[in-house]
Amino acid sequence: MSRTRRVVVTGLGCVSSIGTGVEEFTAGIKAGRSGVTPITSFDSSDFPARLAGEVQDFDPAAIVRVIDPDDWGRTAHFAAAAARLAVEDAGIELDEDTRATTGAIIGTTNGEAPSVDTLTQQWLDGGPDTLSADVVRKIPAGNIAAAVSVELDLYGETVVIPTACSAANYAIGSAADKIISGESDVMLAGGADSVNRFTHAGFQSLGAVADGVPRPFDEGRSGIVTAEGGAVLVLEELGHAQRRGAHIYAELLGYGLSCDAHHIVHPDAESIADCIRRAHANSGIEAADVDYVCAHGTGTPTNDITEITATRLVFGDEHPPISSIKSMLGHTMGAASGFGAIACCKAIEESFLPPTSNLRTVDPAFGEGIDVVGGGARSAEVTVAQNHGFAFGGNNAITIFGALSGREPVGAAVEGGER
Amino acid sequence: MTTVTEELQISWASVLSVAGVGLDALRDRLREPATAGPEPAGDPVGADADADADEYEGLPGRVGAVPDFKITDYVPRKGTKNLDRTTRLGLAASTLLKRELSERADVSDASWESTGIAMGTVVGSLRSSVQLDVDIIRGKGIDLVNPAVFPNVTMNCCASQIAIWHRLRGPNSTLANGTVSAFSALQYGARLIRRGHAGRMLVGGVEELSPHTAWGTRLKKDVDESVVIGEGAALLALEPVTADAPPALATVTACEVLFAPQRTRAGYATALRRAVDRALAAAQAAGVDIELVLPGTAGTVLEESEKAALERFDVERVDVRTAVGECGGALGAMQLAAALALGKPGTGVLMTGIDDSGAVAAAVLAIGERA
Repeated sequence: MSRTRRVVVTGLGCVSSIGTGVEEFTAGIKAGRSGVTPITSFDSSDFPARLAGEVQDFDPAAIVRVIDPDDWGRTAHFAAAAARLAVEDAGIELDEDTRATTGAIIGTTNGEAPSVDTLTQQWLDGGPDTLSADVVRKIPAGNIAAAVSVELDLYGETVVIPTACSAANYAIGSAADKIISGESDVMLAGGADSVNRFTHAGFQSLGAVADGVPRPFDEGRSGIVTAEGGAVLVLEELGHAQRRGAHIYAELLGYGLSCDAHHIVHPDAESIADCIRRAHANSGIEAADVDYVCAHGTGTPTNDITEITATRLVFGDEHPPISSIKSMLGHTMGAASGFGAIACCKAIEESFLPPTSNLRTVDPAFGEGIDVVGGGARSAEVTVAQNHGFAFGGNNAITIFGALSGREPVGAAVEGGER
Repeated sequence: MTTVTEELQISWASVLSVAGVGLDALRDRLREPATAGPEPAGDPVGADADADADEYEGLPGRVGAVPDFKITDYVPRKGTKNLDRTTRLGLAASTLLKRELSERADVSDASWESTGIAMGTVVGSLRSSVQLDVDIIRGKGIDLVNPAVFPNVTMNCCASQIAIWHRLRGPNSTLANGTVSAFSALQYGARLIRRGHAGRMLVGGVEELSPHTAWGTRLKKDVDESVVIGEGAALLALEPVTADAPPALATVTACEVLFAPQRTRAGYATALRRAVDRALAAAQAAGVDIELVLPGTAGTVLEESEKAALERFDVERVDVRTAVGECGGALGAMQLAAALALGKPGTGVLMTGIDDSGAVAAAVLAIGERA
């Protein structure tokens, strides 16, 4: 579908285990810094795996200006803090008219799981009638986006898209569509999640948790490390951004969604390849235009081979470099593709490839010609970056970012759209 | 390839509520809400009745479940063992909807490749998360965790299982926005179609009755104890208006989901008034007269704010929440289904809602001749 309005990224904000704020985060990525440490947010002594990518010493009050942290859960804290940082980075002052249509769309996997954990303990300790109403109020997942809009005094559409570990890409895509369709000029979009006991245990029960640090694409990879944080982008209509002289990191060229409709936890390469093609079509690009793929790259044996199989199906032998920032952050779940989006924007702006850390030997099963950017960050011209997000349920979401150029934007309708 | 227009239609709907299965049962309950009665409607907790009975003991007010609900009445038993009640309700609704759509001559098998889901929820299955956490705490680690039930704690489980069971390969999405979640799902689903990401969307909402949601709702004291804690699921088939499709149940005239950063009585009212203004402007532009209003906050602390935003409407109002119970993520979907059940052909129905998170919603459906 043709369109005339273009969407650009003018602000980046994040709270992560390797740095808070886009500059510190980027420095951490370039340095291959690890945010993986022993778990402190719950007692993990009875768990075989005791590492996580926690945001240590996070104090939301040091970042937010409006919300009272006591009224919100930890995941909302991450979202609101990241959003505040993103708006500050964008240098945007929202007037009354703009705030009327600006909102926040935030993805998550677990929502306010730490508050659910607190509730469970209260239930066990004292029975159902002893539950704290204050804790109950923190649990609805919609609060995560609500915290952003309260923090920034926004009146526009505010919603959480909890499509698990591809959720931030869903949010970014939907916020962009709002701008393209003329509903908004500015939107906040991204993802947030928190490390918690039952998610950690759940992944462990599936055999999906690493026996040490995450090693995406390594032949000895053994799984994920659960992680947390918030990653939010300011998306803005191009003309709106140019009129106020905004710094433009990149253009959001488009995105694609698909569902495997196959298995609740096992990804499907053909379906992921289909999602990549949908993203390319929506963005008006060819596979050969892609300079860098920010992988979902969880580090589980299954994910990584499936992901490379899928990208092989699309790119063939002309495979662009692909790396996993989860090697440094761990798996931040619903925030993961939000962090990927930030990494893509910075890769375009500063001409570098984010590295895959912790690599010893690239899995030979991937075949020849796969560059997973081992050995540290690398200088490279990145004009188009492809950002992967895949999730339980076979929910695939891919965003495409490009350096701002003079070409016309092109979006395409989904294939198989007949009735 | 469908020519995607701005106009979208609701071509069919399925609903499971405390009133029973289908629009007729819902219509009967809405017309005579007294039949909701003081007693719980049907088995309060379905398959988990024995395990849950003690956990409702002492709970103020009443609870009600979808009467006589068994997932095996809708899909084969194989593969249903580990599904939670949220997923079962959503799967049942989707099965009814797909069955109806599949009988249409103009619906091709290939169309399911571009059919997506937008399912509203508050927090997914809270019961699943709490039960898993209890197992971990009591097992002091992961020894008691059944990996087959872990996916149930992710909030997109219901939508994803629907896609798997029915082979729907379009955008698979879940929207969390409290009691207005289904309006977010409608808005999101419409946007996906209009932007070419889907050919058809199944949109709606789901909520399961559980001791955890029931106690949480009562302890917050935001809902009057006279309102039953209910459950349910409703899904609508949202499609572009095309020449070869049968007449619609309704067309979507407006769907506005906005936010009240000042979460006070006046703040909620102001934000909802803004959403209603936009919806009303769209209705007027489309030549749609509002003849029925379905508010969403009756029996709650938000009721006065909604009344303030709706004071300009001197038309019939029907209270959906009291009729079907407090049903969280399914409430907006029940309002949408109620519009189809009660709306007169050729007229407009306005639905509104406020969630205490700050989200507000106003939607207008223009009821079709087929309704």
